[in-house]
Amino acid sequence: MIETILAQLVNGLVIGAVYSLIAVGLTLIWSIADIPDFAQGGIYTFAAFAAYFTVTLLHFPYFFSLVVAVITGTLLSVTIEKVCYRPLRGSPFSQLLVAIALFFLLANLAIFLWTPKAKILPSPLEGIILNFAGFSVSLQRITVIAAAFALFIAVNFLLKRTKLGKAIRATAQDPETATLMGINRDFIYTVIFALGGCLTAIAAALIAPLYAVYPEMGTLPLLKALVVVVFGGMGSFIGALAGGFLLGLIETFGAIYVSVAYQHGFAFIILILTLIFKPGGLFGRS
Amino acid sequence: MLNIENIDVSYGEVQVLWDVSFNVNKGEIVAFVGSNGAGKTTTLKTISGLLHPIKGSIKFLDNHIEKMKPHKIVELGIAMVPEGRRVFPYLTVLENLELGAYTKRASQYLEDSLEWVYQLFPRLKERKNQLAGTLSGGEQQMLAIARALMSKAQLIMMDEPSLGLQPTIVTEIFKTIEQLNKQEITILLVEQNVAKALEISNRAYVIENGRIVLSGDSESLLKDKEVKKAYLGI
Ligand SMILES: Nc1ncnc2c1ncn2[C@@H]1O[C@H](COP(=O)(O)OP(=O)(O)OP(=O)(O)O)[C@@H](O)[C@H]1O
Ligand SMILES: [Mg+2]
Repeated sequence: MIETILAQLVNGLVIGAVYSLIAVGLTLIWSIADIPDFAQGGIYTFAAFAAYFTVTLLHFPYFFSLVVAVITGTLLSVTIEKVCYRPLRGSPFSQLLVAIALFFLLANLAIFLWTPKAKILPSPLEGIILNFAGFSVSLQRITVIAAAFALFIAVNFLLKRTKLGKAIRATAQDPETATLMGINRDFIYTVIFALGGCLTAIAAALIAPLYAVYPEMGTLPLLKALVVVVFGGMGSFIGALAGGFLLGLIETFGAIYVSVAYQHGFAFIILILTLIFKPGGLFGRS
Repeated sequence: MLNIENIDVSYGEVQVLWDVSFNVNKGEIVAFVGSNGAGKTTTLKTISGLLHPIKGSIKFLDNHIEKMKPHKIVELGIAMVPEGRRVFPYLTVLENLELGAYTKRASQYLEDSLEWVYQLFPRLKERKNQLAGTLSGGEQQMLAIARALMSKAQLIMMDEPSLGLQPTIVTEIFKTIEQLNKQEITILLVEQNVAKALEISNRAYVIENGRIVLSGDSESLLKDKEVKKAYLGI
């Protein structure tokens, strides 16, 4: 009994870590560039495939494939901002349409390039099982959770303590006045899209060994991360973080104690309840 | 040091500035006055690069800046104290000031500049770890001025720094402006408080409906019949 609960707790935290990682990037991008960046769903998929080919085709170790995934995700995200969103700045509706188009385009491109068949990304960490008094968990799962926490500490440090972080927060609060301080808005956009792509890619490459690599793998995580952004409060780092883990836990325990059939529905129930009862989100500022 | 020649500025289809020309010399306080909606804020925004003129030129020192982006213009040495203060509400006082010194040129003097503005506004030092949004109106105005000073600008443009503040604070702000001017900072001052603005400035321009209608040294404008009637209520 207690073992099942512990196992589900770990599962909830693992999936929650993925939601939180994507949501932290999304909430920065959404609050600053005013784009709900659906393209991150495609970036998630491409980053996972990049890791997969690095391991299976090039025979590099899994750890190295994480680096390749991050580079792929970051470059893709920054390029999409430069090429697709920047020329449409000032027309948020066009940007939204382009974002949704990219979401489908990237998934379809992945099907075209690599077929819809699910692939296995092997990780040595998945084979290492840790035992705690009768309760066992793979090192891969522990790594997902630990890596997510390490990244959150790093991002928090970046935002709170560095000059660049202050410039990012200033731009979020008052973009026009921020430029009057000498902050180059284009540069800030590049930074937040790079950060978003990087976090999305890490999430994808860390969780891929636990599930599978396939062209539509980005769909649900992306949609749920968007829900987490609204749930946690637009632009709130701590909201994205807490909201992601909370959703992961609700889904996992809800699947057991309510019904598996609703597993992917909880997010949208939360979305609706948030919009009705707390439209600013958990940690929203008004 | 600042030369504006025949600029036209519009918001989309609506033109709001017509053939505006004026200049600011090094060491001056120049007042820029006019009634609501005359185009004062639009003029300052155009100088700082937030808007671009459809015609005409703006020269600062030896640079043409009419097509430049705002962050480049700050780097050249023009800072703005925006209308409505516009401090970053969820950043602390200290973080606001640090952002004032964001440019490469200013950041090397960060520590000295902080000491300087804390000396000018001791209250900001007491509240350096407080969120800027929780300051009083007067304190926010001081922060907005201090933040502009942090940029080590040679020219500071202030858009209605006395707006909505109680008389004692207004007096304090005007005193500070004069004090800054003595420290070799050139000031372009937009004000609704025309009497006070003319009192402390060397020269002034009057703008009406997007056109400059009057200009001269402030002392004689203070005595001008038209100005008295239209702006001083005498
Ligand atoms: N973003 C905008 N879009 C369209 N028109 C604008 C915009 N901002 C200002 N205007 C118009 O431009 C004209 C000049 O406005 P501006 O803000 O420059 O006046 P001002 O002299 O600063 O007035 P105030 O004393 O009220 O601050 C006004 O008629 C105003 O309605
Ligand atoms: Mg104005």
